[in-house]
This record gives sequence, C-alpha cells and structure tokens, in this order.
Amino acid sequence: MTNVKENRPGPEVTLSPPVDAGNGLKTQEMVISMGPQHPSTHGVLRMELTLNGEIVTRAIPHIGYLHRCFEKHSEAMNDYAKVIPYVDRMDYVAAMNNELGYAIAMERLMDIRVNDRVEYIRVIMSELQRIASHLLAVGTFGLDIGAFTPFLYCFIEREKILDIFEKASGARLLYNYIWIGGLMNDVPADFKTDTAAFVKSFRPKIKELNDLLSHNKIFIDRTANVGVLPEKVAINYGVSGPSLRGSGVEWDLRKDDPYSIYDRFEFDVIVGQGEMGTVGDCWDRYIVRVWEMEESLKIIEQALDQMPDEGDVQEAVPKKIRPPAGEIYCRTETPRGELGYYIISDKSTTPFRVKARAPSFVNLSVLPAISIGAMVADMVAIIGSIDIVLGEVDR
Amino acid sequence: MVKALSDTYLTFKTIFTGMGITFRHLFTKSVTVQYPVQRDVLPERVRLKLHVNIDDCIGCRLCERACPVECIDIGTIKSTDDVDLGETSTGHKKKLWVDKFDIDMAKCCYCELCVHPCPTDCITMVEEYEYSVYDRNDLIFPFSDMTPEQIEEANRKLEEEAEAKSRKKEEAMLAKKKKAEAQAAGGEADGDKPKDAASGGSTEAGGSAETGGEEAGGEGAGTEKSGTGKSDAEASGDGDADAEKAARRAEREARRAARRAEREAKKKSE
Amino acid sequence: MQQFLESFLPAGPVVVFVFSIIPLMIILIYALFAIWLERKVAGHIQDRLGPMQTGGWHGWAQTLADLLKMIQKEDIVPAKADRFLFKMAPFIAFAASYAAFVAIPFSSGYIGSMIDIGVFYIVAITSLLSVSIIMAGWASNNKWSLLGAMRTAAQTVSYEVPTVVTILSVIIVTGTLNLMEVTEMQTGNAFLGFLPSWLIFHSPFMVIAFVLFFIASLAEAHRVPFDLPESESELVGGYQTEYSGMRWGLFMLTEYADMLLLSLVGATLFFGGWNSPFGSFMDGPVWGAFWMLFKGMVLVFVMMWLRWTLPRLRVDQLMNLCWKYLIPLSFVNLVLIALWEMIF
Repeated sequence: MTNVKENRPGPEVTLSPPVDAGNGLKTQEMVISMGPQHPSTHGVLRMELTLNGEIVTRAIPHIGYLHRCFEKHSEAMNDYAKVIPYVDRMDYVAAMNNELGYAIAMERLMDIRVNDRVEYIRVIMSELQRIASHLLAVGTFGLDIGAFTPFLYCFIEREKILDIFEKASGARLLYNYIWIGGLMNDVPADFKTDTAAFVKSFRPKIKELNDLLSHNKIFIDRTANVGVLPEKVAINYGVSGPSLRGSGVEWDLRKDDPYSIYDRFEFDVIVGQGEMGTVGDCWDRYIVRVWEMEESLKIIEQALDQMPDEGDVQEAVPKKIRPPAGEIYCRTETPRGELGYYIISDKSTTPFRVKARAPSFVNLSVLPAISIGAMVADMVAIIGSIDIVLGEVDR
Repeated sequence: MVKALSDTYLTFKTIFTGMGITFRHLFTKSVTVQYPVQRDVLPERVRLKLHVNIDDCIGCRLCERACPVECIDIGTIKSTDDVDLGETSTGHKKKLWVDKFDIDMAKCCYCELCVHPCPTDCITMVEEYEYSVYDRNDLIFPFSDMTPEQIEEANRKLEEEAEAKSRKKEEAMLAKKKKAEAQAAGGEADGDKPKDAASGGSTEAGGSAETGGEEAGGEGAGTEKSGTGKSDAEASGDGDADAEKAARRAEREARRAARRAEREAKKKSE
Repeated sequence: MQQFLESFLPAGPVVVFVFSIIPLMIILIYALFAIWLERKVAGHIQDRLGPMQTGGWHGWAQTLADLLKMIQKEDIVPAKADRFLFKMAPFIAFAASYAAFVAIPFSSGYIGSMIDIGVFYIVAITSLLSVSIIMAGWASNNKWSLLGAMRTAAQTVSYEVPTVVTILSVIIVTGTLNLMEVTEMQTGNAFLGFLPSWLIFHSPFMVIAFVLFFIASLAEAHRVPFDLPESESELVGGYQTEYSGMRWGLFMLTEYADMLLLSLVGATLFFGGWNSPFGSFMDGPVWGAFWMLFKGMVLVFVMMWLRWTLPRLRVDQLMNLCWKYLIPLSFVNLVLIALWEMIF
C-alpha cells in the first residue's frame, strides 16, 4: 500500500512537539485545511494552515484545482484569434484587460497599428473593467471581514458596467471583444452617454462605500496592521499591481511603461500611505483599490472627451493572422498587476507558445511570507486583500 | 485614556454613519428584476444561443474552422449537376447539400467567433436563453433539415455522377489517345490540339469540385479568406470528400496522360 | 391566566401543559416571522427584495417552506463524530433558551412562573447555551467546529460579566429580581409628566447601561459584529458546520429565540415591558402582550439592522472590547447608578 501522505505534493509539514500544559494535558499545533471549499478563499485555493490555537504558524498555499491547460490549449489553436476566448477565462473578472494585453502583444509582434478610435474604446473598456474588478475585490474583501451589505452595493455598480459591456459586445463576463488589430464591434451609439452617466453616478458611490466600510472602525481594526507586506519583500517576491502599490511602491505600468495610449491621460498612481496603520497592511491594499477606481474614472472621462467619432474599428484586423517568426514579451497592467504575455511564433497560423505571466499567481506566492503570526480571521483578510483570482493562478 | 475615548467616539460615529446609510437604502427602490415575471430588455448584440438559418448555409465550414472549442459539426455533400440548390438570400450560389449541421451548445463558449466569418450571415446569436435540459445530449442542436432519405439520395446521385464522369473521362482519354496516336501516326507536328482537348477535359472534371469553395469565400471576403475557403472545401473530411478526391485524381490522371501523349507525339515527330 | 385556563380546561396537568406551551408557540411563530423579517430587512437594506414568491404576498411562507425542506432532509451524522453528543447538542441549545422564557412577563396576565429570582434565573439558564455549542463543536470532530466552539466558550463566559453587571445596575434601582415586579414598577408617567416611567428615563446612566447591555446581548446572542462562533467567512459555519436538516434548524431557531429573549429582557428592564407608552391608553393584558412583543421586535430589528451594516470583530478584539471597555465601564456605571439612587 502506498502512503498517501508520501505522494502528496508540497513540503512536508512537521508539527512542533506536544507541550505539556501542566495538568496532565498536552497541547500541540493543529494542521487545518482551509479550502478548496472554504467560502473565503476566493475560489479553489487550498491553504494548509498550521495553527497554534488561532495563531497561524505556517501557511502553505496549494494550487491547481482550477488548472485548465491554457498554454497547451493555445498551442492547439490553429488561429491566433482563437486564443482570445481562452485568454478571457484566465482572469474571468477582468477579461477585457486580459484581451487587451494579448491583443497588444500580437499587434507588436505583427507590427500592426490600430487607429485612435480603437485605442480610445480599448482604454475606456479596460478602465471600466478595472473598476468592475476592483468593485468585486473590494466587495468580497468586505464580505471576508463579515460585512455583507457593501458587497451587494458593489455588485449593483458592477452590474451597470456589465450592462455597458453587454451592449457593446453582447456578453457580460467573457467578452472576446478586443481583437487582434481592432475590436469585434463598434460601440453602440449611446455608448458615450451611457458611460458618462455611469461615471457621474459612480462618484458618490465611492464616498458611500468609504463611509460604510473603509472608515468603519471595526473594519479598520480588522485590516490595519494586519498582513503587513513590506516594500522590500513585495519587490523581492515580484508582487505587482495594487498589492505592490499598497506597500508604497509607485509602480504602475500605465505610467512606467505606457502601452496603448495611456501616456495621453492625466492620472495619479495611488500608493499606500499607512494612514490607519503600517504601510503595506491589508487596509492600504484595500484603499489603493478604492482610490484607483477614482483614477480610472478620471481616465474614462478624459478618454470620452478625446475619443474620435469616426474610424473603422476593424480597419486593421488582419484577414489571416500569420505573424513573422519571432517572439515577444508584452506586459500590461491589469487590475491584479502585471500581466505579461510571452508569445513565440514559428511563422505559421498556430501559436508555437503562449505563456502568460499571471499577476495573481505571483502575488499569491507572497502569502506564506506575510501570514505567519496572523490569526485565522486575519488569514481571510490577507487572502482577500491580495485579491487573487484562482482562474488566473491556475490558468 | 484619551485614545480609548476617541476610539469609542470613532466607533460609535462610524457605526451610526453606516447605520444611516443602510437605513437610507432600506427605503430606496430595489434593483431586483423578478425574473420569470419581469424580464430585462436585452441589448441587440446579446450572445445567448447560436442559430443557423440553414436555407442560407452554403456549407463553407468557415464557422466550423473558427470555433475554438469545436462545438460545430458540419457535413456536406456535393450536389450533382441535375439539382439546383438555388441561391441564398445574400445571392450566393449553393453548391453543397448540408446534410449535417450540429451545434453543441454544451460546449459552446459564446465567443461569437463563428458568427463573423460567415459569408452569408446565416449563423447568428439569438435572444433565447431558456434552454436548459436534463440530458447533455439534448444540447446538441441539429440545424440541417435534410431527411436521411434525402441524404442517401444525394450521396447516391453524387456517386452515380462521379462514376458517370470518370467513365466519360476515360472515354475522352481513350479518344484523345487514339487521336494523338492517329496524329502521331499521321506525322503532323500539331502539338496544340491534344493539349487543348486535355485541359478542356480537366476543367470539366475538377471544376465542380472547386467551385463550392470558391463560391464560399470568393465573394464574401478578401483574397486571403477566399484562399481559406478554397482549401476548406478541398480539405473537407466527410461524405463528399471521397467523391471530390476521386474527381481530382481523375483530373490529374487525365492531365498526365495528355502530357505523356504530347511528349510522345513530339518525340515521334522529331 | 392560569385561573382563566382552569375555568374551561378539565384537569390540572392539561392546564399546566397548555400554560407552559404558550411560550413555545410564541417562539415558533416569532421565529417564522423573524427569519422572514431578517430576509426582508437584509434584502431591502441591500436594495434587493428578499423572498417574494413563496406563499404569495411578499413571500410570507418562505420560512414555512424552508422548515418543510429541513424536516425532509437526511439526518447526517459524521462517521467519526461522537454520535450521542452530536445529536443532543441542538436540543440542549434550544431547551436552554426555551427554558429562559419562563421568567419573562409577556403581559400583566401571563408569566410562565412568578419566580423571585427571575433575571438571575435567565442569566443562569442561558449559560447552558454555551455548553451545548461546545458539545456541538467538539462532537462534530471537525477542526473548524472546534475553533468555533472554543471561541464561543471564551465569548460567552466573557460577555456574561458585563451583562450581569448591567442587569445588576438595573436591579439596584428596582430592588427586585422578579421581572413582573420590575415591569409593574414602570407603570405610569412619572418623568416630566409625559415620559413613561420606564427605567431608561430614570437617569442618564441608565442609557449607558442600556447601551452596554445591548452590546453584551448582541455578543450573547452571537449576532454581528460578534458572530464569531459561526463566522461564515472564516470558520465556514463554526459549530454548525457539520449540522444539516432539522438539527441545524434547531440551532437556527435557538439563535432567533435567543435574540428575542435578550430583546425581551432588555425591553422589560429598560422599556417598561408590557406597559403601554401612552399611559393607560391601549393598556390591559392583551395590549400588554402586544407592547411587550412590539418592543422586543424593535430591538430585534435593530439587531438585524446592525447585522447588515457592520463587519465582524476578530476574536482578540472581541476580548479586548469586553475586558478593556465593557466590563470597566459597566462597573463604573454600576457605581454611578448606585450613587444616583442614593442622592435622588
């Protein structure tokens, strides 16, 4: 008989020796499996926690429950355009950003220039998607802490964004809207008014969210000084996105390595300041997301003003996608961080390799480092604050 | 102490702020759509279910090729000369029987990649979303309206025609050979004539095999796409493939035979 | 009430049975209503509607339907569980909170038992609840349940202190532990001529006492922000994790019964119990029952309102709040109330 434990992947957990409590009873650490069916692991993450009472002494994330062979699937597609639906399904709450990254990578590989209208629509779409994704992150974070209602308020707003997407692309979650060299459809006639109306109605909601959740004393107590991710650790682990900015590092690819037309917009990079506790705690990571929504609104407003009304969105869509032999690495800033695509072409219509550097995966790796000494309840807060999407972690 | 007091004050203040917000929401209008009774007006482009207007389908298989999850399964049979399948509403000539057009909505990923390449716009996303079933196989929607008898007949006719054609070709070839021999025997160095005859024969044989593909892509899209369409029709895998192959083989053989005859004729004339 | 029942019911035991079954009826009907109300409150606070279909008008029969569903469900006991404890725990939990209702004066005409140590009895008997929760958590043989049970033990033991001390500060004023007498003391409009002579208006410190009592009772009833034993997002379901069907339903019933119990105690101690807020207008035994339940329901509603507003505390913060804030404050308050009572 084979020992199941021996075949288990991951490091072997050794418990500390039992301690005599003095009255004939012995206490020992406890290993507890958090997930993959745990309500707060944001999908199918499994955390193997070693607990001393309620204090976490070791946390090992186990992943792979949602692995769908994204890379192998891509290599099996006989058309580069057919990869886009798969790309959508990586980070399924921010599909537009995933598509944008892939489209830009392919356009750089094939040296395609898209016209301004396409660029502006793409930027508006991906910023709307960023808001939608942050709303979900912020809402579920509140849910992890125990506040149910802000979660649904966030979803109401997110729904409005999804309605805009649905009008433009026909889908609510997995759009396949941004194509290589253009877009699937032109936006509908009332796109501008819809989006402007959303921007206008959304600003007060951020304030409401702050009043209801961000500045709630209980919420602050639960998140401030919890799961502190120091700047150096964050950089060493390759953390990116709001989680990195929460640690006070001003690093946003939209500013530091502008792609598409992000160099045309005025916006600030939000960084965590440790207002309520230490720089890089859960509250900082949370509030960075909240204020990033505000910055995205700014970008959307500017883009709506500057967006040209004329232009064929399928102008540059190649009839047959046959990139020259070569390779490219292209990175973009998704709501979760730096999403990089490494694409190798062998001059055929089939991708030779499509590798994705998923931000969630990298961000997740920092979890064991920052969760030592936390309590079980903090563990939930930490997982929520680094905002992972398991679809992207496992791909 | 001061900190404790300010903390207490802050706690109560924020709790009451929060309670104020939730109390306000208690009386705001709810956003619920009571689904079976009320329904949202769906936008025009909504992607909910694939539908095929089979009358307009020319069997070009562009949608099948575009699908990233292989949920579309198309079978075509080349139509014989005596049948006129008519034209689609977009004015494309139909050359193929579509004996099978199954879409497995259980596999479909709703990416709409199949809709865009269609030259006749016959495959579309429609606004129908209540089609849950108990058996996954019930999610395979067949769109072909051909009965098994019709399919059988189409196949039979195709075979008969292919047979007839190959017979005809053989006869033509024989005739050409004879002619060439006669010419060679006659000692006249007239090389053009047999060549003409041979190429004429080849167009007759191979033409119909290719036209389907040409029709499919040629008018719908640019040159690149037409290339795809053509190769599609050539590489198609099912019922009509054998017939097509046979036709092509016959064509190739005819050409080769003609060339051989020509060479021999030249040699002899020299 | 007892005499009234004896006038038409044949034998003594039947009278006693009917007499003692009344709180159960009240709890059951209230639970049906409260669970529905919780859903509606949650729904409307979150801009939703809550149940709308079952039973026609605003889904009034939703809880009934759920009850039927729970009764039909398979009774699952985990293989490695301690079967006896596992099965007993929900019954003990419900028995504890049901037994406490005996000392609640529902109206001037009905109290289960006129015991002189009423409040003391309630405080004592509700402690059984924590025993049952520890039983459930331990017997489930599930680490999450165990964590939930441990939290409950700590929480209940800690929060009983401020609860008892605030109750004690009320007792200083009333001079009796019998809740019926406490209520009778609050009849009439003594304060400023128009305010009902409820204890909450007795002195400013009574308001503080009420706030402390309310916070402590939230913790006793395991409601947000103190719902750590269950804490769905951390401990999956805490001690309830392994329970399903009607056994889980009993825990649910206990939770709501506890809410009502503590609200009723609060209403009796601070808001005049079955006394009408309008003096002798709308007064009497039947109106008394109405006012009592109405006041209780208002407090229950506030509990629900809080639940759908606030996040949850962490276990160490919960202890901090109790030992560093509530307990010192309640003792100070006790002294202040005693002084007030001496001076005026």
